[in-house]
Amino acid sequence: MGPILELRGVTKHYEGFSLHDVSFSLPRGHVCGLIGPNGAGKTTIVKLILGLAHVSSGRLRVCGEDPATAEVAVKDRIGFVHEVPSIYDHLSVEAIASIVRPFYTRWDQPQFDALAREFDLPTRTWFGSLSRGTRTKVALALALAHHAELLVLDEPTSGLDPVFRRELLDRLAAYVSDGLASVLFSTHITGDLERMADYITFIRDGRLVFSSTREEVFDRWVVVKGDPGDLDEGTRQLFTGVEVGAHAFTGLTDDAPRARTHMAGRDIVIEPATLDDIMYYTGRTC
Amino acid sequence: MLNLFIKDIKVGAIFLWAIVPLYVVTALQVSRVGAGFFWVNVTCASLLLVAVSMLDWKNEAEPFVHSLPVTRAMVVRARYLTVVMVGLVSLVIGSAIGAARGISLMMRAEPWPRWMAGDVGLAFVLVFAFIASVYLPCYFRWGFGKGNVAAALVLAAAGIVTDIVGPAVTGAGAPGGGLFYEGVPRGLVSQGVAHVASRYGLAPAGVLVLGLAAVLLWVSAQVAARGYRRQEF
Repeated sequence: MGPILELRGVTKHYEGFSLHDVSFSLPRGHVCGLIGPNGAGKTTIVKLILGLAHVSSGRLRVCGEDPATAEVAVKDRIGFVHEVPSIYDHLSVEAIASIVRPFYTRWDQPQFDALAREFDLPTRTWFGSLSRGTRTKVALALALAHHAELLVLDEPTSGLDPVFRRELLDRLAAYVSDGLASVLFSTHITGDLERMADYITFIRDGRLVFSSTREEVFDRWVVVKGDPGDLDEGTRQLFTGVEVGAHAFTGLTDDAPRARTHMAGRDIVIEPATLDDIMYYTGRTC
Repeated sequence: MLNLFIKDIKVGAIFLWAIVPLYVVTALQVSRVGAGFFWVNVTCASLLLVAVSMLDWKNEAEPFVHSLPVTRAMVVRARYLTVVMVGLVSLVIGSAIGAARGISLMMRAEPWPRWMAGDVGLAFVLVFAFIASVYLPCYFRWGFGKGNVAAALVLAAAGIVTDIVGPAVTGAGAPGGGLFYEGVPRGLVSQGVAHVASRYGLAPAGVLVLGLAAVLLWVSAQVAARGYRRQEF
């Protein structure tokens, strides 16, 4: 079976922003974390996958199909949770579920009812009066109740309390464990991904920085700390980004062995980079 | 498409039920003064039309709607179906109120009002179909805000044109009165439909009007779908 999600050279132009030549894929049964600073293009990728925006050029396949030509079939297999779910404020959760239900060929009402109980959803309460976290839970229950093959989550955990956040991550891990379903998880709370993502895709300024397995990312990327006096043009070339303070510099590199060799004999500390480090130091030149 | 139509009805129900009593009260009062009732009916029906379209915009629900297994063309077609239903509901309300007014007049030994007749009902269908066929492409192309302004400008222009063309065609206002049907609401369409009905009969006029309305809405739906195809959320 091919990847559930495949982007090849995908480009999207907006006035003032472009997503350039993005390529990555997500195999079935895995979680892919989509990271990047605000405005990097994460939400644009999510919109392209859902058909909310049109691809300018390149190839996008979801479940092996082109969303532009098989829109209904593709969306039937996607579950989506928006960062701030906006549905209909004046409708109850129950009414919203009754609207959504007939659209999906694999809607599972007992599953939705079970999720509503598990998430403690007030099914008779107006959606507009729910907290942001509860709205996210509603959207998640709707997404999970139709057995989506691809869950697309756009910053889903930002409004959730830590307890439910942890539960959600466990649930997502269980969701993909059958090897058929996959999750694309766009977030800036990178701790969530360090715990559960199989793949990490990093977007910055509309360009793909990398898309690798989590192990590759943490094996390759390191943070080097040392005396600013040890920095020269040659050593600067080692780093993808470097920040120089009064007493120390911190550099980020995806080539740890080269950094070790090049800076041998100098008083440096090399630490594994976190995703936060990678996001923060990439492109930093001061 | 049917699911989207049902979605429109379920989402709009609370607002439609809020507007309908106001609609009934206003129409009841205006029906006392005669043919102006027709235009109140058209206005209330148009309010329902705008209210249905407003709900997705107000709730910022378009990304949600378009994340469902639907295409943009399906959303457009379903909205036209909703609008047909809105037109029918308005026609039923208007007819019921008009009939009630007619009965009360007859009970006072007064004649049945001319404005409460089949040809006026047909004129309502045509006017409402025209308004919807202007409004919806504007809404789908430019959204609720700009779309409303664009539709208002086009409809205002159409109103001015018919005000100029109308008397010239019907001869109303000219010496002898021309083709002006007393008691029928003023306006090119209502007078025109009354003329066709009086000349060829109500049934052929009905076929003509319903055919025209269907063509208007069909062409409009094609334009709306084209405008909405490139829309992004």
